[in-house]
Amino acid sequence: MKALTSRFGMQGFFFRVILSAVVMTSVCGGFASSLNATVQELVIEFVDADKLDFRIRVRAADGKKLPAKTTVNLWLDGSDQKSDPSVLGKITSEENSLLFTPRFPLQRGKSFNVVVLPGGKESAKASVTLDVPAKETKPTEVEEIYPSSDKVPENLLRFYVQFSAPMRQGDIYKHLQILKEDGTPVVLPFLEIEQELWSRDSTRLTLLLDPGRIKRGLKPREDMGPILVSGCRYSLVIDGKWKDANGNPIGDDVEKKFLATDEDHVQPNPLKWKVVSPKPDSKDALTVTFDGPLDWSMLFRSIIVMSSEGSEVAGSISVSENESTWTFTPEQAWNAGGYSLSIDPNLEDAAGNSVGRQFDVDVFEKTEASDKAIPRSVPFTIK
Amino acid sequence: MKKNLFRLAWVLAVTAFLSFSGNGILNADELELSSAGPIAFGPEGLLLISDPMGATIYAVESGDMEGSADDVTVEVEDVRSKVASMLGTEAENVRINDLAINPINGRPYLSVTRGSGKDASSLILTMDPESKKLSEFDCSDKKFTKAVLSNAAESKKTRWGNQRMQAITDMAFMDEKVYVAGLSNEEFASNLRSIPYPFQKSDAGTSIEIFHGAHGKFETRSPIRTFAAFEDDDDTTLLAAYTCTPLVRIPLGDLKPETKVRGTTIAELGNRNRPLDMVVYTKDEKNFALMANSHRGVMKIDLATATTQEAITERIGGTSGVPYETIKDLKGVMQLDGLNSTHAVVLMRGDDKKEHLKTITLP
Repeated sequence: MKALTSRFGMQGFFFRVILSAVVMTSVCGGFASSLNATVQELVIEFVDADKLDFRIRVRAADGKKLPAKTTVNLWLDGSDQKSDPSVLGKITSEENSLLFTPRFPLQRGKSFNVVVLPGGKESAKASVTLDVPAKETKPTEVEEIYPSSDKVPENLLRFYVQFSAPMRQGDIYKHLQILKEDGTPVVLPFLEIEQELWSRDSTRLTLLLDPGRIKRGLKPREDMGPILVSGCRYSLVIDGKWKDANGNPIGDDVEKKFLATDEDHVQPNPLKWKVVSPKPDSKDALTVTFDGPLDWSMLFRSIIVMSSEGSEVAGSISVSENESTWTFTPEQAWNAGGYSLSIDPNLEDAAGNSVGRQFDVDVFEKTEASDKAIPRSVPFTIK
Repeated sequence: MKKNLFRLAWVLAVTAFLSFSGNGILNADELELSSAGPIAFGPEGLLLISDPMGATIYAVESGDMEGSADDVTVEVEDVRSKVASMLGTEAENVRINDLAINPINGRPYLSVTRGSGKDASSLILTMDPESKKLSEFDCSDKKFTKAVLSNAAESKKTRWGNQRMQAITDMAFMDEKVYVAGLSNEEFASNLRSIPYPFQKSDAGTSIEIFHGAHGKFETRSPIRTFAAFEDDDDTTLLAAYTCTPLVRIPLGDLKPETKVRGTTIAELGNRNRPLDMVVYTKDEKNFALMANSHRGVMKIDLATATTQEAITERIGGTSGVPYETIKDLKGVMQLDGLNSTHAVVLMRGDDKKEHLKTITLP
């Protein structure tokens, strides 16, 4: 038995498949030619084919009931249908037809074999091949790497790598390395964890440097040395072969060059921030200049402008000057009077020192002590 | 000494708060995972499923309570490709996030994701050890409750697409509590949360921040990669493998709500390595931990002195502390869970680079 196999894209809505011992003609347009009427014809229809979550309906062309035990299965094209499990889905019986609903939308850019066994008989097997069109996508790029500065403290705790589109997760560390100036790689610089630290939309990777190599006195650092040494130049290199969520490599290698500077153990101190207040009745931006660069991502959620009545002021935030300047543009004009910045004590700098405490401390008691002296609010006046 | 086989793992985390919803009701909503992280079993077939993206822990009454784990063997060659086939894609597009074995009957469950970003699809698969047939664990007709791990404080009015996520690195059920460990993709802070089960709406949950001393000089919040719990003289002790000072002992009784806890370093297990997963088991009346590592194979750690071992406070070369041996025959182990009193199941990457589920004898 040879099955009639056809290929079609999403424009095809339904197809007839002739069950026969004879190979049929090709399927074109929307319908198969039916040359052999000696056996029952099947119609395989793609329901909602204009949508991504389409389903597959199988019915007899003569409108009669399908034989009992008829099966409908899908395999990724190229699968071994004897040993590979078929695509998960649910079969529901409708009047004189069967409806196959894939558990998840079929993956774009893949081809699938739809296999129907009328009456469950292998000898009556019919199949068509469905090409699900690939997404039309622009090549994914590395948009930005934070910290944006080309100078970072040698106890830098993390990079953020922002991509223009979702990336493929899993096995990411083989695509990332830090090179020394002579081109040799720093050995195991990253905290390689199974649960990779992606943003919700899979476009931003948080790349933690191994904290055991950052702090003096810890065994990994004693055994392997620090990751970065003040005064030395490095490159964070992102492999161009790394694939995005659609399976396309990002293209060329991306390199961020930077100079390591002295360790930073100073907690950000909001009392040292410079606040430039706008005029009343204006929608001009409020500008805050920090006592050093802070964590790019946290700056978009860790500082809140509060009115004197204690309500949150709505507005938009931008971050500039290598994450050392924070600008807030209100939706409504400023009123004359008192406002404040409410600060999340977890707000950190690039070395993991937070407003609340240093990244690591020398004694346990000091940790508790430092928690108590957190300036959580910075007042300012619009006048 | 009680016989126990717990499996957990975890991390660092945050000042997150917990809220709860549902209370043993059959939910009208279907359980749709926005992501799938670690999974674990509690008593009576209770399957815990973490959804890091949804910041939710589901406790599902699986109803999978028939059979015995005594004579079960779990073997699946190239399991990742088989999972990929079920999801209509190639192996490189799927991730097996976790493996859990139902202690009642030895049935394996896999936490699985296809793709990433908004197109990601996550589900739980299970396998009949006899037929080796994989199928989806269907939650639609199961009773479940959930605990929602709310996000950290943030502005509602200036939000610019909050990209903060709490990666849940592992969890376990112990003494009527679900222990959840997580790591934020933004601020760096370590804690372990315990959620009493059954989940209660009124319970605020607790978070415990665990520090540990390294060489007696610094207290670090470094992430805990994996942990297991064992009982000795009715006291439960957490055994935590850290990224920078590998093995730390934390008496469970010390885990008071909203406090900071100091762990005791009891072993240095070598550098250039990261612990991946751990189980605790009893053999010949002795407690052992079996720990999979990225670069140093699978270690069998003798826990006889784990509760009495003095803290390692001095700089040492190589390894020290509680004794262990590396099991030479076990290579490429990525995840493991206990199967029965004599065996465990591992997800391992073979020399052929393919991933297999295999049953091993507990060494």
